[in-house]
Amino acid sequence: MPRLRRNLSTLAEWDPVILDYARAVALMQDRPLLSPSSWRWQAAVHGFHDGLLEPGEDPDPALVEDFWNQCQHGSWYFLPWHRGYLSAFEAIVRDAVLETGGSEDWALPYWDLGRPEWQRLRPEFCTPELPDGGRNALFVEARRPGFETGDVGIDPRSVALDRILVEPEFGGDSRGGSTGFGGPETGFFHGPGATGALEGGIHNYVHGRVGGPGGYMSSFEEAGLDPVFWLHHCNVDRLWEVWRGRDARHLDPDAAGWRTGPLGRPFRLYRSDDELWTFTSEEMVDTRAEPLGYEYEDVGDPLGGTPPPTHLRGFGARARRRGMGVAAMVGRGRRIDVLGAIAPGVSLGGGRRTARIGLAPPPTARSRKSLAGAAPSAERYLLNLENITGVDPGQAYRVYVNLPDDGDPDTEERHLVGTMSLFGVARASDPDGEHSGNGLSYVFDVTELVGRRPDGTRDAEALTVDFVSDDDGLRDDAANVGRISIVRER
Amino acid sequence: MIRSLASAGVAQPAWPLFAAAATWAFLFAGPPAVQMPLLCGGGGLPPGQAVGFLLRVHQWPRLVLSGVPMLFAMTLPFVVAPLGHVAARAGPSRAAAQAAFLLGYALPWAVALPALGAVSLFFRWLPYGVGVCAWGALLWQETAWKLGAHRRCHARPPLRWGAVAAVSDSARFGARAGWWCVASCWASMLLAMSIGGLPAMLLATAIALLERERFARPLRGSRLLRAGRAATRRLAPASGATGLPPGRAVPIR
Repeated sequence: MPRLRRNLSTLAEWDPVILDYARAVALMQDRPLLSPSSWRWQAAVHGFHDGLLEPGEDPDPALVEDFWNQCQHGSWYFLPWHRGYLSAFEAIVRDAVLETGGSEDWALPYWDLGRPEWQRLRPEFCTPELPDGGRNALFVEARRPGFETGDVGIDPRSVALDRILVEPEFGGDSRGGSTGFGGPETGFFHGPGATGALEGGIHNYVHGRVGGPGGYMSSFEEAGLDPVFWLHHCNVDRLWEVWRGRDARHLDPDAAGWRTGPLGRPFRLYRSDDELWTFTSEEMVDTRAEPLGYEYEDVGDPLGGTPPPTHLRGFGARARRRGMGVAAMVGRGRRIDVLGAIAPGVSLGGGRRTARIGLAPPPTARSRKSLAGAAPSAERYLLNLENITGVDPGQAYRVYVNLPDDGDPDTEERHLVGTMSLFGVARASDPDGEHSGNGLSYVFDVTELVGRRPDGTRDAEALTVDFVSDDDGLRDDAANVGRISIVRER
Repeated sequence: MIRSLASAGVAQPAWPLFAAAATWAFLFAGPPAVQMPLLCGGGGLPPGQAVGFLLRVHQWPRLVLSGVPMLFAMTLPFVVAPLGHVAARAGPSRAAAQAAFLLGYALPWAVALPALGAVSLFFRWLPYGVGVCAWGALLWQETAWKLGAHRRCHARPPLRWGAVAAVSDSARFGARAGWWCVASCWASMLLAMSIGGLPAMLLATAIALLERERFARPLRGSRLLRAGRAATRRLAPASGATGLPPGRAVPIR
């Protein structure tokens, strides 16, 4: 019988699920770093840096390379890897729950942000004491200032799922086209890079809002140290189920490269101090199968069955293969044309900043009829924000296209295309880091806005991109977008 | 990289791989006159005399031209990803921008190869010189400089829009990429040249590709030694291969 992962947001205060979690976390926090069932080891699997070592600790570099810093980001492995990671963590916590006298059916709850009243930190994470007066391990100070009130400044618009759950394809591309729901095709990739819609949307945003300028959740290397991290990722994992369930065309990749995991570097995690577990993406598909063995309380469609926008109906794996004939049998035939770009892009601070991009006419369609299929008929326009660098990973900017100069971002929501969170920006901006200071990347679908002036008439020559921050006290160059471009994908 | 060429999304330029493979085939099957490692043997003379010897035996244009296919064969596999970056962003100037990138990329190597070739003559002449060079190359693999240069090879800078801007930015990108490629791989290239022969050059290329594509980090001699010890221990009951406290068995599934 699969264990039930429940909605944290609907639990009563100090529900046994939460209390068991708090006691288990405390037990795990007392274990040494080199114990795979310790809190710090579990966090290090996601990310680790030498600054987290305590005096006298000197782990073998091979151990660090083989078992820590493993999180997959900016990759189509983001979802399956994190699913395995959560499963292993859940198993370890359950063992600790049993040790502390809790329920053997304990399962990780998920932090659903689907309602405004749920978009606050639960009280159990904001108080340093348990109901019995003991230390509450769910309370960590390394969060956004003022988190003790529960308010971390989550904007409902930035955790909305309407643009994320309509993404037609799981996988995507990291060179300008859609990055898909789950992320671009990569090998073993520790990120950061161009992210899929789910990761780049609600996932990144909540990390930054809870972590703030310097909290655990704002750092790849420290996020796992915050007990909220696991509940947030549980919700992210749940949304994978929601996406698959809401549309029969929403399919996981069937490519061998995804199903069997990164070539030559399998995913390996400890499910206890003594059990090393190797898994592949295809083994993560069915949550009810062992060793996952769980299901979610609610995987209903929060969009109420709303169909995808018209321009997306021609996309999706099967639609693409039908349209591309023989070409689809040997490749997926995605064509991307850059219509305009500016580099450098724009420097961001507080308030509103605007960039203007001139557009070249789309290339005329050369005949690309394949032997047995028709030319592609679906197209979408994508806004690419690349080489995003900065210093404050807790920052986020709402992104608008063709917002009138005198338009109010708070009311002109039809121009809102998404939220650009700077989670991971410090690491991504480091030229000596793993990815050479390339910065972050975001891709937003702007099809419904491209080529239309605010008054609805067409303007095929240019468009404007506005970045809006509601945070106060930002310096003028808090962040920088290195390149802004518009592409057409067919 | 191989898989990514057949991936969804914008096609990575596949021609560098095919060109590299064709060039290796040409080098192995072609006349010795085009095999730079043979031309640069130096005859076992002291380095200073070897250089003069080479220049008297082979006209310098032949030496230069023989280096071109060697350069292509060894470096083309590494330009697939950055060329894809250029191709996806240069718009209508795509072809010119890619050509500019390649020219920029070749420039640091054009300077480095003769210098490394001259130094390799020293190691060929020195008793046990190849061994000394090999130790030096292994030590270099362990350094933070190697790691830093390896990482810098992944830089993907923003490229401006417009014919002239895209081409000039691509050329600069190529030159920087080539420089960091040299900085990362000079030691293994020097070792291969000191050993001499196409198989050594091919092996150096393969190791660099493993670093880039499979491990995403420099291959370190210390790690190879640890892997060897771990493999040996698996033949007998053991623990602690991963640095965990002794007494914890680690069954690997």
